[in-house]
Amino acid sequence: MKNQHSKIVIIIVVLMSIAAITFSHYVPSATFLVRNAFSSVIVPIQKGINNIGMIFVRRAMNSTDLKEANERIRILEAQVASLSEANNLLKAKSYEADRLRLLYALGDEYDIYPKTAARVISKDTDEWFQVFKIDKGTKDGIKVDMNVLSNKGLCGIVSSVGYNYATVRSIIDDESRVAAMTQHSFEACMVEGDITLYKNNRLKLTGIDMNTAVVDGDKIVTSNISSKFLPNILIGYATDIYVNDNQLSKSGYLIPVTDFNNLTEVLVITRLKSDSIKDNE
Amino acid sequence: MSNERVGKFRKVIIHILIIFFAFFIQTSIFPLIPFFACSPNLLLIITFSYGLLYGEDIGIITGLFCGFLCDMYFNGVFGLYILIYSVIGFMNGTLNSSFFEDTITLPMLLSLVNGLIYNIYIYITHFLIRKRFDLPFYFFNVMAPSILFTLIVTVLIYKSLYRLNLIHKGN
Repeated sequence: MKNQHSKIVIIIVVLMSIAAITFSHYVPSATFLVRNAFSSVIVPIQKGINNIGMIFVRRAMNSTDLKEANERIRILEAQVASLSEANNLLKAKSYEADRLRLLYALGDEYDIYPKTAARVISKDTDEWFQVFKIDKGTKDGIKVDMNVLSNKGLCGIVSSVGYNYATVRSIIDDESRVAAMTQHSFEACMVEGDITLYKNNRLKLTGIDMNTAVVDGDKIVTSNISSKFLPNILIGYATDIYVNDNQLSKSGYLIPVTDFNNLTEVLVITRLKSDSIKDNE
Repeated sequence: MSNERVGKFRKVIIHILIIFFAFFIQTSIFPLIPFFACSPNLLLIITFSYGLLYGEDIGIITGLFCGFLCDMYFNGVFGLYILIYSVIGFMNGTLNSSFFEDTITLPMLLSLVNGLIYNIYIYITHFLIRKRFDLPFYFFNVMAPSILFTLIVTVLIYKSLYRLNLIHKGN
């Protein structure tokens, strides 16, 4: 008798969740208010837990990492030397570029975007998704479609936002698509996240025109034709470019500059691409 | 009579706290630890353990609650997690009457089966519908590590939940 009763309960639960799935599939905005309220309560608690957890993780790391850190310092010092040399060279080029731009009366397109720093407070629990939440939301001026950077380059885009949190879909997520181009020749291409590749720290690079000279090692940046991503943000480097079977286009892989395994702090660009378009009009 | 009610109330509170605790650890602590390439699914362990220890009804309710937390917290279609968690709670609940409580073998076996069901469910609902057919890859790279990790953690958690169950029965 008791058995019968639980069977009825589970059938009701299943039917109700199927109804909820169908409903929220067709009316995605319906759940927003409830979820927002829920997260508003959950996020502060998570922030607290995060802080406590961080203390322990740091403590554990500190003791083991000293040796590693020393070695890293040596490598980095060498890198600083070579970079400052490169920087000098670039500065010279930049002056030249400024001069030429003035000459051509071109606006400075690549101005530094206003950014705000945010902390990663949680990640999706499954390996299936590469989505994370940050501790800033509408109250800090975050909006949907704002670009998110790591300290090295593009990392993702804000996919939804609540009062005190925002969800970021990283570019390695299986559903992510970014319109991109090569930095030096402006050849258009598409950067696609793929769960089968990101384990090897790679993304897919597609839609490269057959007649272009994209080669391994080319810097790939966000394209100026993208509707959501601001132009000229570094994504990564092209590698293993090959010609597709149809002989009409090329594909390849991209090694991102962002280290997605150790993402704790990110920068959100508080300007939307759509705003920039409006400004120009 | 009222004493019994207080005891029951305390049990419910303890269960809810355990679930919340697991949820926070899973979403906020595990991702912080860099060498965790994948993380164990604590809510899944709790759901099927409660089903096994307390029967179908508690299994369904626990699953409902865990699924609700996930559905509320993660974006996307609402109800997907409620569906799978409550079904898992129910299925394991049906085994409640027919197992020897002292062994760890059955819970471990169930952890494997449940992990597999859960992961295949996620694969179908999120990847297969987008025409991602490379199941062997997903199996070896995403499902297997997560299932095995969950299995290891099951050994630790199930024992504690089992002991809690004994205490409650003692009451």
